[in-house]
Amino acid sequence: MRRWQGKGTGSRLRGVALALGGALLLAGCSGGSFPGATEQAKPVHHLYMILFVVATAIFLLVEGLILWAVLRYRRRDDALPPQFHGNNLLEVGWTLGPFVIVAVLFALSFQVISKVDAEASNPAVTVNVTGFQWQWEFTYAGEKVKVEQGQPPQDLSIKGTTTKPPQIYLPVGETIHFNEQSKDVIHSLYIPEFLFKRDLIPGHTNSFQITISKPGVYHGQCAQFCGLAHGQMHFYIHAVSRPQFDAWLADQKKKAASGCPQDTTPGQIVAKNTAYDKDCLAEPANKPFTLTFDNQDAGVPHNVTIFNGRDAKSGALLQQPPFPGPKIEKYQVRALKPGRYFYHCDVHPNSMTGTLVIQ
Amino acid sequence: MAASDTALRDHAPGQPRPGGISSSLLGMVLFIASEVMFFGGLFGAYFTIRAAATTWPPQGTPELSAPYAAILTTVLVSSSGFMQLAVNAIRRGDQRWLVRWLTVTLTLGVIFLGMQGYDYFSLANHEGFRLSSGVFGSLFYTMTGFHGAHVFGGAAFISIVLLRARSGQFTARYHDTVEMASYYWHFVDVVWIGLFSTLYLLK
Amino acid sequence: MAITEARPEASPSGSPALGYQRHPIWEWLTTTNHKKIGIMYLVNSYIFFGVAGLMAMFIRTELAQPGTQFFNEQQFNELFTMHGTTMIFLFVIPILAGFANYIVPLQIGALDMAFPRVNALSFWMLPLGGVILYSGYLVGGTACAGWTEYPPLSEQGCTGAGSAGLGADLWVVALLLIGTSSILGAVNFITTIFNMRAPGMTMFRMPMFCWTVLVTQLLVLLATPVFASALVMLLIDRNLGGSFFDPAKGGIAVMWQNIFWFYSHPAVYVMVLPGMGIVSEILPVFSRKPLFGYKAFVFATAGIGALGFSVWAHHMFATGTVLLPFFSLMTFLIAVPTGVKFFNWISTMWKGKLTFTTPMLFAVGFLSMFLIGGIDGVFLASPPVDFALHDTYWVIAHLHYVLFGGSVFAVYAGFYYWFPKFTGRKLNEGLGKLHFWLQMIGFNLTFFPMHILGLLGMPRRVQDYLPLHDWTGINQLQTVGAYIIAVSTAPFLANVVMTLRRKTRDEENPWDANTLEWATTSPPPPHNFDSLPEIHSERPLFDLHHADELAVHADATTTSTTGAH
Repeated sequence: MRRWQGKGTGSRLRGVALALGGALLLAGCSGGSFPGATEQAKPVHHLYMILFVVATAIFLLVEGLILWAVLRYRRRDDALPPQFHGNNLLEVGWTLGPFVIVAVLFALSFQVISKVDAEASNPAVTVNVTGFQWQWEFTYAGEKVKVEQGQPPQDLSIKGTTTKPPQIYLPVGETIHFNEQSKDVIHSLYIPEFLFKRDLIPGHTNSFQITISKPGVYHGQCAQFCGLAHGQMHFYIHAVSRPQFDAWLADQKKKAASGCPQDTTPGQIVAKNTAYDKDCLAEPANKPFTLTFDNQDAGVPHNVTIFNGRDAKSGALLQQPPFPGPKIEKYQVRALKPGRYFYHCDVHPNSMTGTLVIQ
Repeated sequence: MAASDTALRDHAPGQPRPGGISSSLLGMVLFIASEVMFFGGLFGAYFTIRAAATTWPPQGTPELSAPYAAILTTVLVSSSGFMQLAVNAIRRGDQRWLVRWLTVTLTLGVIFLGMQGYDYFSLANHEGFRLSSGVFGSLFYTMTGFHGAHVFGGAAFISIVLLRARSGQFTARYHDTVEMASYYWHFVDVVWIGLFSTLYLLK
Repeated sequence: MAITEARPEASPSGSPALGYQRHPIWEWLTTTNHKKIGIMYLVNSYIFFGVAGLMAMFIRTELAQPGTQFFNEQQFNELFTMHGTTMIFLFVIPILAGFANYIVPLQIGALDMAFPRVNALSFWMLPLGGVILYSGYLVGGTACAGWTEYPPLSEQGCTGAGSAGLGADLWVVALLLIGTSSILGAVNFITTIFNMRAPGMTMFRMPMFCWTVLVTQLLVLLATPVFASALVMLLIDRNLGGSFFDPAKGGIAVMWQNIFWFYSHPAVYVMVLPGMGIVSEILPVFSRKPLFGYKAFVFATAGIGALGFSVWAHHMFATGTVLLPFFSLMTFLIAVPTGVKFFNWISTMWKGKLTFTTPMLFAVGFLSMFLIGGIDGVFLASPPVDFALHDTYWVIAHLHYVLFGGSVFAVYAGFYYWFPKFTGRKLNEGLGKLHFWLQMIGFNLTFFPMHILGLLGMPRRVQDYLPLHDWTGINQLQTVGAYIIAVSTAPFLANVVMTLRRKTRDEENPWDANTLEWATTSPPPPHNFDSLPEIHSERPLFDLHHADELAVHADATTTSTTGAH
């Protein structure tokens, strides 16, 4: 038997073809993509389905031709086959055909781009997103929080930590405008179920609008590699009815304006995974106190520097050198007047911040 | 097959077919094309940043002396002219004038480098304008700096060609290396004209 | 019938014409012969393939389960950065250049490359570049911001502001060196192809592999220097107080991406076109028919090369800073010449007489796998769909289908096809088939499910993921696939060792192939040819050996599209 009169490979190839076809059929039923939970995502999903159908058809056609050629034209004798070099008609055909297909796909994409990138002039809610290594801060523009006497009200801000990603609420069925900024490197705001992401680029503001169509909790995370804890920059969007959203806003504003109800372990603060365990400390006024700082990050230096005012520009009232963990240090803080005092870690001033509330 | 035998023997590798370009010259042309793309990247960066800036040049940038740069341009452009005279000379087989024109070219090239160095010195020390002086400093020094490095390389190449010319290695028939050096030198000149127009005239 | 006589005293090392033998190590270190340099490219590149492959195994092992098991975040970041950088710059691009180095002068009937000494220099810059890149492990850490090293992250360091170590600088210097090596190679290849073809070999009678190498090297020549300018700017920002990419001092962060992708997109064609050329050599030989649509193929290749310069910003759709419709249109258009090639390849096999040797299996495998990679790329050409899929595992699926399913399969095809030319012995067919099927299974098991992961929202470059997403099962499947790929290299390596040690030789043209490299001994003598057959088409050897049969066979086309006669 001549070398090229092999037998086994043909039936094996047929088996593989069947398996492939089966897998594709299963995938084909759903297309695999999320249906899209925003008004903008719906045409994107629709476009994806069209692409999926076209892709499957082309795959089956071309793969089918390959398999057919492989099975049908095995060498069985030594005579040369017809030595054709080309066929003008066919070649023009299979140049124009794909050209038409991609032109149509482009036109469809162009239409959907306009829907996704459209921006209405009067959004119901405007959220300013700030990305930083390695979490997010969502600020509700115009939703003022009265903090204390003599200080101007600030926009309500929800800032996440690695251990406590931000849970932000948004109203369903209303236009929400996002402005994105970055404090350090390039990040990307990605919500899979919205079929959308947009980068946050330092020195540049990106903006987009969405209208969420289905209530639910939607997970998002950073999708542009941004360093060490890139994979842990999660956030959650809770899409709720307008009354629920208003109630949540009011509740958040109250929490921000009041003292520090989250401080369940007064006098202590922990640093772990380049994050504090709390963004708010509460202590009584006019009495010196001890702040126990537990740095649990092996080999990573941290500290807690307390400032005179609301941000790091107001001069430090307590600043000790950073030290690597695991180690506990006790800071002796003098008696302070009632007010809100900003604190941060000198080594990670963007991601490790909080407010000391003295009442 | 016999025809191919003789054809193979007569067709010396690297020699141009009738109407073709010799391999050394083609190689130099291709290399210069790649260098053009390198500077293209730098010029692209310049125009991108310029287009996005609100004021250009940025606040605090010292006034770049166009007259001084015009002298630099005259030096380099004339050196290109002299280089071409050198090439024309050896095409005629004139080894003496090849050496003389090459010497003039090299001298002008060295003058260019010296003047460029002085310009850097005074900008850095008298105006405090350095590579680290914002994005304009980055652009200015990187673009002119790489150009200067290429002038230096070209001058080194011409020095070698000059030494070889002095020992009579080039003739009317065999002087590809001189042509190669002249292509490179003209390229360096054209890049300078681009730099001069962009950094000093257009701003 | 032998045109070039094998000389008994001719050995791979030594120059018999000079009458003395050089020590083999010295010979290899100082050679300027394109065949030896080609072999060194192949060996050096395959070693780096192994190193980067090992890193892939580490990555997949870590990702099999949620949580941190073996590699913490920073180690993981270095792993995927080095994996990508090594695969692209120290494996795929150079191994294809290695094939080109060995084969192109032979296929055009020349005796060496136009600039043999520059050829040697080009090679030696590669292991040096590799050493510089990997020396990051000795100085506290390698580059860690992905093979794309976007600033500001690549300027600041991966563990927070001011954490930049020497690793990224070593990455820059290594790539500048490797890029220079490529550019010098491009000058060499283009000059060789234009100036050193044998009499009778017009441009349109060149083997298709040479055409793909020509277009590839034009891309290398024109695009790589632009990358060099970006690398230089990054180096200056990191070390000399520059601010090209620092918005605080007037720079533009996203400008890096524009310059980077202006090179890196044409670079992906550099990584695949020669592989397509290899497939275009193999399919006609094992179908016993000419390549269908030769001229169309040439124009399609040139078209891909040209169009490839106009699509770069499709890597940046999600930045919100690029003109979406223009780049989307150009990206869609580039599917057209690629489609033309597919139909030409299939038509080459159509009504042919196919033999499924190992090179043919890998060539057909290339067709099937690259098809998938091309199709899933079309999804990314649509900006709104790209907003959902960019920076997710869908992209990792796409790039591996085209680079592994495409380029790696083509590389193995070329290796099995030309091994008898390099050594005079064919590799064992049984082991070859085992290698092929194991790799097919392992490869698809690893990378097909990544399409699904991408649709489910798993981003790329994450060291860990949350169990609540139900991504664990798919990740485990992918890890199993990766291990199968690793196992599949065993029969290949065993085959190579076994075959090299075999004493018996095969004939000098064991495949009854078409092109001039087979018109001399296997391996060829240092000067390649004693004489050449007459060249009247792109298949000079086939014409010579099958003259009678071809005369009987009337040309079966309605209208021919090549100037073959």
